[in-house]
Amino acid sequence: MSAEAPVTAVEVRDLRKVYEAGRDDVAAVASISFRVEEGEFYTLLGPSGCGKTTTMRCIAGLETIDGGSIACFGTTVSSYDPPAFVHPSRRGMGMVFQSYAIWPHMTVFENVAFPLRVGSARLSNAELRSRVAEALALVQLDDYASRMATQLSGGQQQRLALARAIVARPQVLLLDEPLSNLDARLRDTMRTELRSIQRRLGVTTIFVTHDQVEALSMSTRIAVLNQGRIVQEGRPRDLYRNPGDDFVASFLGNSNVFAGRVASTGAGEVVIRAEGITLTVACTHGVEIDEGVTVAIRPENIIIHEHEPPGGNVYPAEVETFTFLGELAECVLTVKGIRLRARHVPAKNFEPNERVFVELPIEACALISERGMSGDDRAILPARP
Amino acid sequence: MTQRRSSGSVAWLLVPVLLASAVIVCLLAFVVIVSFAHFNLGMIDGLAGLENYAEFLRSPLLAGALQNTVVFTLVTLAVSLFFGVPLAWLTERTNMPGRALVWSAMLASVVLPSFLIAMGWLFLAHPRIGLFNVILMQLFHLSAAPLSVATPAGMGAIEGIALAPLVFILTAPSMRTIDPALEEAGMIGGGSSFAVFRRITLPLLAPALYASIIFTGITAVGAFDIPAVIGLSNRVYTFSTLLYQLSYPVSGFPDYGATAAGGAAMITVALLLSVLYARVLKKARQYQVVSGKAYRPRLVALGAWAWLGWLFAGSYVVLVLVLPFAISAIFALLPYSQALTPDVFTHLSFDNFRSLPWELVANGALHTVEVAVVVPVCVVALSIAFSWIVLRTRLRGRLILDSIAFLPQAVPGVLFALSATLLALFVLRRFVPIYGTVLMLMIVYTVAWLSLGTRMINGSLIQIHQELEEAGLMAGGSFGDVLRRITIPLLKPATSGLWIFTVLLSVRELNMAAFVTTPQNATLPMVSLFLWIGGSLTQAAAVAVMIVLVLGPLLLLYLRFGTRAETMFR
Repeated sequence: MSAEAPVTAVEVRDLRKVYEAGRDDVAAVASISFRVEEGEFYTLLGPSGCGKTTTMRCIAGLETIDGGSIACFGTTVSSYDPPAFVHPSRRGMGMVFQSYAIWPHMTVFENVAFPLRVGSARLSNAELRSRVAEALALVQLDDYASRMATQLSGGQQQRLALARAIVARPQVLLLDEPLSNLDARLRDTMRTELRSIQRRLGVTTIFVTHDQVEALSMSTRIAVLNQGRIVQEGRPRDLYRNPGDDFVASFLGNSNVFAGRVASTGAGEVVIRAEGITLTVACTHGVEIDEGVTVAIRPENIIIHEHEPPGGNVYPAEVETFTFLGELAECVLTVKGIRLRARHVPAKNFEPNERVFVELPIEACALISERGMSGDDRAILPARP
Repeated sequence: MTQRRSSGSVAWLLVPVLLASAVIVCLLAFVVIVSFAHFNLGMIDGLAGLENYAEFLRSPLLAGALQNTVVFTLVTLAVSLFFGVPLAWLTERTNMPGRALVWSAMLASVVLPSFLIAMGWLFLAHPRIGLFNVILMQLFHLSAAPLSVATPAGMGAIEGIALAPLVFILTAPSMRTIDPALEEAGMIGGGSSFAVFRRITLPLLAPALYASIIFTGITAVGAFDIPAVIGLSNRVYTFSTLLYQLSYPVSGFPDYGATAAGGAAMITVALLLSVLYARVLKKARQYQVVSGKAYRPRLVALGAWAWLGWLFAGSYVVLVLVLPFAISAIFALLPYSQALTPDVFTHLSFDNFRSLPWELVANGALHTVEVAVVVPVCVVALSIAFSWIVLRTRLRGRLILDSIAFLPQAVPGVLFALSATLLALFVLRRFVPIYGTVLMLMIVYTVAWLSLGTRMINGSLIQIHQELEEAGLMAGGSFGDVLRRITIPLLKPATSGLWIFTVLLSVRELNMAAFVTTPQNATLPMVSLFLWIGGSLTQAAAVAVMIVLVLGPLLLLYLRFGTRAETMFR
C-alpha cells in the first residue's frame, strides 16, 4: 500500500461561509483549507461555534459556500468562483447526524434501504435485501430489522444511523458529533466500535467533535478549529505534545494524558505499563508489544473510591487537592508518578493527603498510538468493494 | 447541472405558491379597484373617484346595518365568551369527569353548519310559530311573543352559540400551559383563590383572550349565514347581508360600485384588526415561552360541584346541537311551518322530501361532492408547499408569502367571494368564462382556507427536525424523493386532520358560497338557503337535515383525526 502515492479524497480550499445575523454578517467559517487522504479518519475538533459543523455541512452540500472550493476525489462539488454546486444526493457521501435523524415512520429495515431505493443503481429485491442485511449485521442490528425505528434505544439508533450512512458504500463518510447524545459509558463503547467499523470498511471519514479524547483516540489527523479557522493541524500525538498556541494547549489540556508501553495484546484489549502501574485499555488498532503509546482519559470518567473496589484498573492514590466547583468537585490525585485530574460528584469530601483508590474504567481509557494511524492502518484494511 | 435540477424541483412548489399568493392579493386589490370604478350599463367605463363611496354612504339601509353589525358582533362576543371560556376552564383546569367528551362535542360543534343552528332557533323562537314562544305565551297568557331572534341581538346570541367552540379552541391551550407554580406562588403569598385568579391567572390568560376576541369578532363581522337565514326575510341587515343585498338585489340592478366601496371599507377595518391580532398573538406566545414546558396544570377539584359543570356543558350541547337539530328534523317532516301543538305530530310525513325540487337538490349534491373532493386536496397540497417554502428555504420574501397566506384569516371570506364575482364578471368573462361555475367556488374556498392550512402545517413542519430531510438528501434522495417519502409521511397527522376539517367546511360552507353562487353552481347549503329565502322553510329544513346526516360519518372521521384543529388558529 505504501508504494502507491496517497489519493486525496477531500480537498477544502479557502472555504468561507457567512451567516446573516441582523445587519452584521458573521463568518462561521472564515477561511479553512485542508486535505484528507483516502482511508483517513480526519477530525475537526473545537468548541461549539468554532465552525466545525458548518464546515462539514458545506462538504455535505447542505450549505452553499461564500468563498473557496471543495473537491471530492478530484471532482469539484462546491465552488464559489467559478460557481459550481453538486446536489448533496449526488456527492456520494454518507452522513451520520448529531440527532441521528432516524425516520420515525419507517422500520429499521426501511431506514437502511432508503439510500438503495432512491439511488441511481436499480437493485433487485434480493440484492437490496442482502445489502441491507449486510449493513445491519455490521452494526449488530440484524435482529431488529422489522422493528419500528422509534423502538430502538439511543445507542441502537446511533448504529442504525451509521448503517444507513454506509449501506450505499459512500466514498466519504461524514460524522457530525455522532456520540454526543449518548450517555458517558455507551459513548466510550460506541467510540471504539465506530472506529473499528470505519477501519473495516476503509472509508474515508471526516469526524466532527468537541471532545478531545474522542479526537485523540480515533483520528489519523486532527484539525483544531477556533473562530472559523484551523489553529493547528496534525497527528494526535503532535497536537498534545507540541500545542501550537495557548488555545490548543488549554483545549487539549482538559483531559489526562500519560505515556506508557504496550505490555501485552489481546482481543480488543491491550495491557499498558505506565509509570509503574499496569492498566487494561480497550483498543481496536494494531499495536505491537513494547510499542510506545499514550493513554487519555476524561476527568469525569475517573472514579474515586474510599475503599478498594473489586475489579481491574484500580490503584491506590493520594489526594493532592480537592476543590468544590458547585455540584462537582475537582480532585487532583497522584497514582505512583502519574498526576490525574478527576471530576467527582462528591458523596463524601476528601482531604488533601488522604489515601483513596482510583478506578480507570477500561472502556473509558483511550489509546493513542505513537506511530500515528494513517499508514499502518490501511495495511490491515480489506480492499474496498 | 445538478444545481439546476434541484432548484427546478423547488420550482414545482414555488409556482403554485406564487399563483395562490397572486390570487389572494389580486382578489383583495380588485375590490379596492372596483370601488373607484365608474359603471355604465353594467360595464366599467372609467374612474369614479369617491362616487361609489358616497353612493354606499347614501344607501338607506347603511346606518341601520352598521348599528346592527355592532350590536350583533358585541352580543356574539358576549355569548361565545360566556360559553367558550368556562367550558375551556372546566375541561382544562378542573377534574370534571368526561372532559374528553366535552372536547369532542366542541370539536364537532366547530364544523356543524351554522345555518342549521339558525334555522333551528328560528323554529324555536319565531314570533308566531316558535315553540318556546308558543309555550311561554300559553303558560303566562301573553298576548305577544316574548322571544324574538329576528333582531340584531337575537341573531348575535345564535352566532355566539355557534362560535363558542371557536373561543373554546382558541383559549383552551393557553389554560393548559399556565404554569401552576405561578398560581401557587400567589397563594403562598397569601392571596385568596379569587385574588389569585384575578391578579395572576386572568392577566396570564389575557393575551389569549384578546386574541380570541379579535378573531371571533372578525368572524362575526364577516358572518353571512346566520344573519342571512334569520335576517334577510325579516329585513334585518348586517354589513355582510347588506353587501349581499346590494349585489344580489331582489329587484333592480346590482350596484357593484357601492358594494365594492363597502367591501373596501371592510377590508381596511379587517386589516387593521389583524395587525392588532398579530400583535396580541405575539404577546400571547411570549407568555407561553415563560411557561412553555409541558406542565401538569393544577386541576381544581370540583367535588360536589361537578354536577354544576356537567349541567353547564350539557346545557350548551343542548342549545347548540340537540335543540336546533331536533326541531329542524321535526319541521322537515311537517307539511308547512306551523306552531308545534300536540296534534301536528299526526301530520308528520316525508312529503317535503318527495316534493323537493329534486333536480336542484341533485345538482347541489353533485356540486357539494365535487367541492368536497377537490378543495381539501388543494388546500392540503398548497399548505404544504407554502409552509415548506416559508420554513425550509432561505428564499428572499418568503415571510411575505407567509403573511399573504395569513390574509384570508384577517379578511372575511365573503369579501374574497365578492371580489371573485366582480373579477369574473368584469375582467375574466372575456377570456375565461368562470362566472357561475363550480371551479370558481373551488378557487375561492381554497384560497380562503389557506390561512387555516398554512398555520396548521407550519406548526407541524416546525416540529420535524430538519436533519430528517437532510438525511434523505445525504442518502442520495432527490428533492422529490425526500418530499414524497419523508416530509409528507411525517406530516400525515397534520395533513389528515386538515383534510377532514376542510372536507367538513366544504360541505357546510354558506358564507362565501352566497356571493359566488348562481343557480348553475349551487351547493346543497345554497339550495337550502334558496328554498328558505323563497319561503319554503320546511323544505329548506329537509335539505339541511340531509346535509347533517351526510356530515355524521365524516364527523366521526374528523373526531378521530381532527384533534389537531386547535393548531389551525395560531
